[in-house]
Amino acid sequence: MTAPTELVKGNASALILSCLATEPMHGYRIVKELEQVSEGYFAMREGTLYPHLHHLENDGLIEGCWETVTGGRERKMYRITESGTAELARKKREWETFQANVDRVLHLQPEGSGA
Amino acid sequence: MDFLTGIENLLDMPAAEKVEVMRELTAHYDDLCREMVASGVSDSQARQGAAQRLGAPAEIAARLNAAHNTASWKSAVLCVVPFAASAMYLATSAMRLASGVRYAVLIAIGVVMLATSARELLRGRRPIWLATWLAAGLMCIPGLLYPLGSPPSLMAGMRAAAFAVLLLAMLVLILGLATRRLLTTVVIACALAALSAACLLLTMSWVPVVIMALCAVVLLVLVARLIFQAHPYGTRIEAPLFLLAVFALRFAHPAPASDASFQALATGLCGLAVVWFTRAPRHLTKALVCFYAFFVYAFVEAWGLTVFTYSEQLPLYLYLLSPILSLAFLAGSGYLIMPMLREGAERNRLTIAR
Repeated sequence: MTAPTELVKGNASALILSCLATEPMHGYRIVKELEQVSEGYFAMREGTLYPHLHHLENDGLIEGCWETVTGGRERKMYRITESGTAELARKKREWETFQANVDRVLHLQPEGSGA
Repeated sequence: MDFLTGIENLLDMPAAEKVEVMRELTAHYDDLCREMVASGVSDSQARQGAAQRLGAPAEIAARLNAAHNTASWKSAVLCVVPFAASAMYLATSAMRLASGVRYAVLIAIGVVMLATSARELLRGRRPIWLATWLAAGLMCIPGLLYPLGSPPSLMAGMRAAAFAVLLLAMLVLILGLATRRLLTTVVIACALAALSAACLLLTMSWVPVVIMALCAVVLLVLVARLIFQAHPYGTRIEAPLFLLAVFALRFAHPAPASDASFQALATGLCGLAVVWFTRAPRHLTKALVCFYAFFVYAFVEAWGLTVFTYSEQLPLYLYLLSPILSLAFLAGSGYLIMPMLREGAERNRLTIAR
């Protein structure tokens, strides 16, 4: 099963920031990391990752620079900034609050069910 | 044309940024191909598979354009072509050329603008210059309906406005985006158009003019929203640009010779604002430029109307129409610009936090 596109789109920044919080990565690695950690749930159209990365870079939440990786190939590596880390913490809190409230509403018991 | 060239052709940003973006996309594409070849597929299958995994070129390019948010000089120039064409048409009035010549110029501008816009829309593309080209094309429609060789009388103008409203209503319906709320709006607009036509037959004065003008504004805001803001490949910065162009080009056709020079000047100023808008790097800057240009144009237009036409003792409806239309366009653009202003505030918050 894969995640609904709209959900991924709405939470893409948090997912990317979370990946980059572990170590600096280039776009291709971010996609692989997301797929691997989520066991294929976050399978995105990979081209749409770059607009998200560029938005985050414009906002100063991540910074990118060209580096030579294994095999002498050049890749643009992204790393999270201080404000990116703060933004990620804020997004995590926001998500936890949202999730807790959705859970509460979804687990409402019908009246007289004896719960 | 291969996959990467397809994306590159649709990217609209300064050359240096374009090179950087393409370098990054090419690296990703190469990594995907390498991975697939390693898994045992042929080169051509790998290229096909990599393209599929990256997604549709039009979608990738549109999202990247929105993220970079600064168009190239080529697009900025294309954006002002309709203003230059409009100034040319106004010049034919100022030079008091024969009405046949003026009409031929208007037909040429209208056909080129509408045909080019239709081609881009049918191909599912939303270049930034489409906003001003479509606006110019739509604004030519009422002019094209004027009878050849005679200045537009109130009746002819009203009939043209009624046709314009109905055409726009049909356009919204044909686009297949008529949800219940939109459909209600279109039905109300058509009913008001019919009412206005009835008022014409009863030779009522300014009431139908105001109704028609407001209907046209509502429908133009809807078109701006549906074609640019809400479209998956459109960006929301194009919607207020479309309205700005409509607003600026609105008076470009039935120009009496005495007003034509003034109108050409105002149109030229608006063209400069459009270049500024297109090249401005951030959404917030663009939103403010748009508001500023609307405001300045409304002011200049009101001043020009008073100075140049008051002595001619024009009917009351012309004096009422200008401020009503200005306010309506400002409200419509404000509605479309609000998300950009909110985004600007959010970015400011991030900057302060940093």
